[in-house]
Amino acid sequence: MQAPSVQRSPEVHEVIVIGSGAAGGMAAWNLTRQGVNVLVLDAGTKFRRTQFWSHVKPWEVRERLAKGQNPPQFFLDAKEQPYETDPKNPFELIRVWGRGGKTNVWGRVSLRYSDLDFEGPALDGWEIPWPIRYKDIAPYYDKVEQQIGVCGGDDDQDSLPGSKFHLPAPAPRCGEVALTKAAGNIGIKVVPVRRAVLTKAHNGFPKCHFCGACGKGCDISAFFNSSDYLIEPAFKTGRLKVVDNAVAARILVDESGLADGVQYFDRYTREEHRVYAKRVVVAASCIDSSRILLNSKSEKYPNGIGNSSDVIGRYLCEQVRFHMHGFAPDLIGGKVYNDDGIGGAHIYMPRFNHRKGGEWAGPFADRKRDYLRGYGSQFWFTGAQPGPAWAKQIPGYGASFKQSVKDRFPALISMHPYGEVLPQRYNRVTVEGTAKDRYGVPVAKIEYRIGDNERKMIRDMYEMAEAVMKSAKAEMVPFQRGWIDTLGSAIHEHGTCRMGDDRKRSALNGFNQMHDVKNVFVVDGSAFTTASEKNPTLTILALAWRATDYLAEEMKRGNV
Amino acid sequence: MASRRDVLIAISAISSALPAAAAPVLSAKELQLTMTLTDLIIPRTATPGASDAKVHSLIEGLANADSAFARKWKAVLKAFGPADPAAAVEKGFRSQSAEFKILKDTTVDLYYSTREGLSTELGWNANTYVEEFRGCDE
Repeated sequence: MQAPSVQRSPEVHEVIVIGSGAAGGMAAWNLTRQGVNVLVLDAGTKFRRTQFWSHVKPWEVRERLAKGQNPPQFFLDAKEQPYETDPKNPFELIRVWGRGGKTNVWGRVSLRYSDLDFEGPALDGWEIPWPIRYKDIAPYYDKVEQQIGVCGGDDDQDSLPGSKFHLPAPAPRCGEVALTKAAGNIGIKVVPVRRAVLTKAHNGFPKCHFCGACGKGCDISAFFNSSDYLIEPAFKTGRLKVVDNAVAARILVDESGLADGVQYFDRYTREEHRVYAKRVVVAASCIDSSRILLNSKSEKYPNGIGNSSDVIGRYLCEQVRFHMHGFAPDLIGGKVYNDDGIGGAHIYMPRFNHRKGGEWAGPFADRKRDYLRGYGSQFWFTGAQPGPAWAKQIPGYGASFKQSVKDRFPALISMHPYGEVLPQRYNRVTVEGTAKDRYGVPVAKIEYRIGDNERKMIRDMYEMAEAVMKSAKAEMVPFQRGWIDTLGSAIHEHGTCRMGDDRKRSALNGFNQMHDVKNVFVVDGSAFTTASEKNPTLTILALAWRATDYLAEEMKRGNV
Repeated sequence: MASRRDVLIAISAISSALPAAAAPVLSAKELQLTMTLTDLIIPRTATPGASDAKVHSLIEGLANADSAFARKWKAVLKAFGPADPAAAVEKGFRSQSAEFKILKDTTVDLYYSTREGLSTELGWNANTYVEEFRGCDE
């Protein structure tokens, strides 16, 4: 019997897209420009650039808050939408509900996966192989980079394929020059970072003005965000509608088992709505997409839509990382530069630990690894940066302490290695027996822990980072060897609705289409077969573009 | 640069150290002792010290907003005052007492978030419009 409070829209849309972040924005943009009418369900609303605190100094933040002013609240409060996690193995879930999702404040590191990543599982035998290879996605990397604008160098290597579409790389900071040289001296190659920041005007968007406040949102949209770069152009086609504050709960199915709509709740009125469509694209970000899919139970799909393989929710992969800081001796007591740049590191260390010897094998030449896969490193928080929490680690107090902090302010060098976590069946998202959210829908429970492979990799990551710092003759900020940041804190969740050729061990085919339900596509990080050590957004964009090209073609052929 | 997470944490820390609007948690004597103690950690030299940056007011704001912090800070005041704060702080430093760590960490976090600490003392003059970023070649 129909609940009296349910609002049902009579319109049957061509496609509903759940989410407006990198994946959902790409899906909406690519489909609408090909003539498809799309309805996007966005769990929030548009963040207004005029309200960003991009140029509010740290002390002015305090003054403004005292006056009762607030910046846009990008990050979802877990009190509003809880998730469950084991206190002994906590998983930190960071979400942004609103137009553009996390791309409003993302790290912008844009790295191509290589065949080292795509072929890794097939070569080492750990879990299922990817159904695609680099050649399948390379044309889409080219298109994405041209569309959004990615700065970078002209380097090209087996672990990080090059691109001829990079915008100019930003000049390195003094500390980054020191780190690049130090790593090179022990055989590790450090290259210009690849970041979706416009170092020159691009596709109608202005050049970055190097204020370094990207984490507070860019008030001129000089880095890629899905709202301005994808959703707004999609609106201009006249084929896009967006429902604001629509918290998707379940995918609805018809008697044949095909998806025919989405149930959502208004974020604030909590009113239930049902909207209908011929196809559904899921792009709510890995954990929320898993929650929606697993909650989409029906007679035909008793453990969640498209889940005959029982892999949805399983094989959650994030990454392990830690932070190491020191001071470059030649920079101590030196000039204080404006080190803002494009925000974050201007350099990157691609994976090298797979090399047995030869050029750029680093400390791992002729060394047998006792673990699978690898890691790279980022270098953010290098140079004169606000928020010098490291000062607490400088010994002493008083005038000499004050001088020590001042001397070291321009000399900070930092490393942040990121390592791959293997997909494990027990690392999973579930909704069975969990608490209900404010809409009466089961919340996600996240069970996640690392294993021996990761612990061995972390040991190597520390050895590498210490070797680079030693090569730089750095004065070290004390650290605890083996410590890793809270799991989930990299905000790179993958794998819970993975693609593969074997439909018994995967939920999606190589075009992000559900094996079980041909008119459902899942295009966010949950579709990844493995996580790699790389930041995923560029690959999410490329896969979503490729998947929706396929969807549009299949629609034309009448297959879906 | 700070990551998005660092920015979030920084804003959170700063917002919890707002100048007090409610009834003060620290008495006049406690506030005076707070000034003395924070100036011992970061004294005025050729550049402003902690009290010049009104770190003591920020601590009052923090105590007002967070009762757990207020209890910790009262313990700091008890450990280092009122008789001979300089000697007590030196003793706390040598023994690396928990109270010394709270005193130092709080003072450092707050001082270097002020204009006096971050800009005047450290020379940070960023978060501004730059036509071309020249990096180390500037």
